[in-house]
Amino acid sequence: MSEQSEFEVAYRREKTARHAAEAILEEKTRELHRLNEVLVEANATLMAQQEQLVQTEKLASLGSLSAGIAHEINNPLAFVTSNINALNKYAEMYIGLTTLLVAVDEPLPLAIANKLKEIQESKRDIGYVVNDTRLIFTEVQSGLERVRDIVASLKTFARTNPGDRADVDINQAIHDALKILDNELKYKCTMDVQLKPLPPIYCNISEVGQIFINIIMNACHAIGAEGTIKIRSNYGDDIRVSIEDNGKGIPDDILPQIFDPFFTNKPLGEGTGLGLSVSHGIVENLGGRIKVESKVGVGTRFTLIFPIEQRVEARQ
Amino acid sequence: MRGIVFTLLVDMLEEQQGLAFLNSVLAEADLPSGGAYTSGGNYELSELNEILSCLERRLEIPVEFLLRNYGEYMLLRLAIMFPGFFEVDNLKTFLLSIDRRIHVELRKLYPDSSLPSFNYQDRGENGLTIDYRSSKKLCFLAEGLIEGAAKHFNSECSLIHSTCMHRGDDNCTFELEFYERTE
Repeated sequence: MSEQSEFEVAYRREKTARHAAEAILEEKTRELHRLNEVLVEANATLMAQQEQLVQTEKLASLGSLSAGIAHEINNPLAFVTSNINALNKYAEMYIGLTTLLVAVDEPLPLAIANKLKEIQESKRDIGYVVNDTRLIFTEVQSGLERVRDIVASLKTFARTNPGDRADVDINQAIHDALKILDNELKYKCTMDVQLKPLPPIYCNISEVGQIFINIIMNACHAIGAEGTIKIRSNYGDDIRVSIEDNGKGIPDDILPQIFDPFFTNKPLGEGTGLGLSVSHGIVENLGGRIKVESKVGVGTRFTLIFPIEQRVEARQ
Repeated sequence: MRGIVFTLLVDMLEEQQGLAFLNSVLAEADLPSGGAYTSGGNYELSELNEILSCLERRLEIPVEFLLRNYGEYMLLRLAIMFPGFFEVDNLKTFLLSIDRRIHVELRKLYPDSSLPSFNYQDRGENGLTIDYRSSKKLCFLAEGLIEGAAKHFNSECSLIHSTCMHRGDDNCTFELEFYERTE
């Protein structure tokens, strides 16, 4: 065989080898791409789980802190409330007495008559003091009720005891919440509720009701003058309830904080910032989770996911 | 068997015996792959045996010598291709790193490769016993690789192949003694 022929044989062999190498490279590249996709997905899952873990840890530590605060506030709150109620009754008696005294026609001893005249001519006459006293009591009692509600929410947030659990129809809890909120919703929200029959879950109905009250109330607040709240329920591997509004939406930068206790973007005095953190705690205790999707100017959708198969220990 | 074993063998034959010899050996061996090897591919061990039988006939050199010679050539080429594996102080450290480091790295590169297993018995500064196990029974190639490593590290060592799978033993045993180079 000539030298040229030898080279031709070698060339053909090398060409075949090159084609084989190219095929291997292509296959490996495809495999690498696939593995990279798996890795990206695993990374995203890991990040989400890490975020969830941080949130859980944060809520767990805040839960024990809240339990302590709630306990400490509850005792003085009880006697302050009781004393204010008693003081209110006594004040009413004094007001009655003063009114009678002013209305007396009979001549009074001179010293008393002068003192009474002095009081009546002071900057704040008796009528103003009476009215203001009543207003002050009303405001103080309203403030105390608000503190009591916050403490009650804190206790729910810190709750470790599952409480009175039973087989609950989630749709019933939604209907109950809508009944309670009817007054708030009827003037500005069009309700679009489509609930499919659901299997029962083992939980505390008042806790679950509280979740729906919190989220529906938030949806109502997010809606300006008027809007629509869509509520859907269905089930497959788990029970899903979505509550969607076409309100102002939640900005991306505050979305990660909405489940933080005491976080609120409502005007001062209008929100405790505990509603969503309490809801989050309740859903987590049931082994579920809450998903939030929101776009500013478009609206927000909360999806509550409850496992159907309740853990055996939850039933014990 | 990993393609690199074949591509380096083909390179060696071409360099040492010429292109015409290589072409005729590959033609005579009548290989399923046609001898068109690529390092990323996998080929049957029988192809290596066919080539070695052909070489044994043509060169009148026993297969075990051919394998030792090839092992030495292979190691020196691997040292150029994968210098990171050879960044150790001496021959003994390198041999100890084969199973613990090099095979680990090779499994990352070629997850489906079946590598031989090495068990070591460190007999002090100058002595090392290696138990070699492989379904392919390429112990003479391993011997050549050790000899090539000795050359690469400019070391002297004696190797006694005291038990051998080709003689019916369960594994091959290489008893190595390392010497100070006297030149």
